[in-house]
Amino acid sequence: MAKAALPPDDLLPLTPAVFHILLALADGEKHGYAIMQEVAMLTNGDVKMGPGTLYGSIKRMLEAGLIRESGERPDPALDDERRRYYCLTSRGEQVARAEARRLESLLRAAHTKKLIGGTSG
Amino acid sequence: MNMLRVSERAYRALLMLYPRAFRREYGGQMLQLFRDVCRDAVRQGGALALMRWWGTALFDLLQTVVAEHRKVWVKMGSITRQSFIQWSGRSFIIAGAFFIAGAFGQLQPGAAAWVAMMTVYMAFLGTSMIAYGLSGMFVRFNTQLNMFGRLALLAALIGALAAAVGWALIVIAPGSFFGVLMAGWMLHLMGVSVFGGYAVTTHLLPRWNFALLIGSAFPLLISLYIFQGITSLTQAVTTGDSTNVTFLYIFPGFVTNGMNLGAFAVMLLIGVGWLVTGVALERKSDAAAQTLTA
Repeated sequence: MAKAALPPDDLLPLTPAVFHILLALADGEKHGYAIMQEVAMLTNGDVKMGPGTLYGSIKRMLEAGLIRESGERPDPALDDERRRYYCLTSRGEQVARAEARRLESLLRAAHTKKLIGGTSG
Repeated sequence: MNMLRVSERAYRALLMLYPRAFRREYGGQMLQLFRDVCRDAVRQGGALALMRWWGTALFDLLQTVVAEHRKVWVKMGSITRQSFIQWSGRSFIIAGAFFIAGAFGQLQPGAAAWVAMMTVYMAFLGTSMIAYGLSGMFVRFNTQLNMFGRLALLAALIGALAAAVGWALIVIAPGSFFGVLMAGWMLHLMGVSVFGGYAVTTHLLPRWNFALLIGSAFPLLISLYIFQGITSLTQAVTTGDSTNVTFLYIFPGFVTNGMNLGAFAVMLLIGVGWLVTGVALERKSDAAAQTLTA
């Protein structure tokens, strides 16, 4: 809980798993399997998150106040009511934005050094 | 379908490898996730896809089981250390109370055998608490001490342990282990005196560093009288005759109307010294505890 008082920048850099989960939740609440599928889709299947990594990260993100369990449940007829749904908190959104800015500036540096974007050789 | 059921059972068994609290909180969800992925894998790619998923899940399990256990151990270590540090200040307060109680026993007019016995018990309990408190102090300040301060604190701790054993042995076999008690007590007083001087010059404690000297340097100055006093005290415990008790005389003239004012003053100094040190540490240990959990 003490981490919740830290400014967003103090939590950076995030681990890839945490950032992927924040990205997956950026457009709405999801349960574990949906987060996992979203991460696989966002990374073109390069990142396959296992259950231990996913829920270990979720546990730490809940403790840090980046995400919370959503009280809302979809219609039990449409989905398994035992599933737990997670959504971003405003703090989680701030941290995700801060990490995205950090990565963006790294990308700009890579562009400047012609590591990406330009013609090679 | 059989393949799915076997997979689910095997993964359920493997979940037992996680720490209990983690398993209780997330085991059900992890199993459900594993089951969902298994079902989709079999539907899309058959047994081969299921095997691939098993590879991913096993690799993930090996990594995260170790990581989750490590977090539990780190947390447990932090809590143990934190409570040890917190109790060190409190143990000094309790030790101070024992010595102060022993001091007021000396004000009983006419030396009595029960006063001698009470003095030994109070000194034993007080010294034991001091030894515990010094251990906590060592854990707390170890990284801030230089070699000199560390050696002084270690001497004080080892001396207090030996003295506590010595006080206990005096009750069991009066007179036989006098050397253990005296060697321990002297080492302790010298160690705390030196450490007290170190604390005063380096401002080690949050406040009242001088208190360490009150409980050690002054009693050390009258060490010659302690030798004489404890000899007579052990005799009083053995024989029940306390007429010759001269425990901790500062000046013979301090015995007024049968009250041993010398012993009173010395035990009171030790008691107050540790009581004040304990209160000073108690304040700081709360802050130290917070930084450990941050």
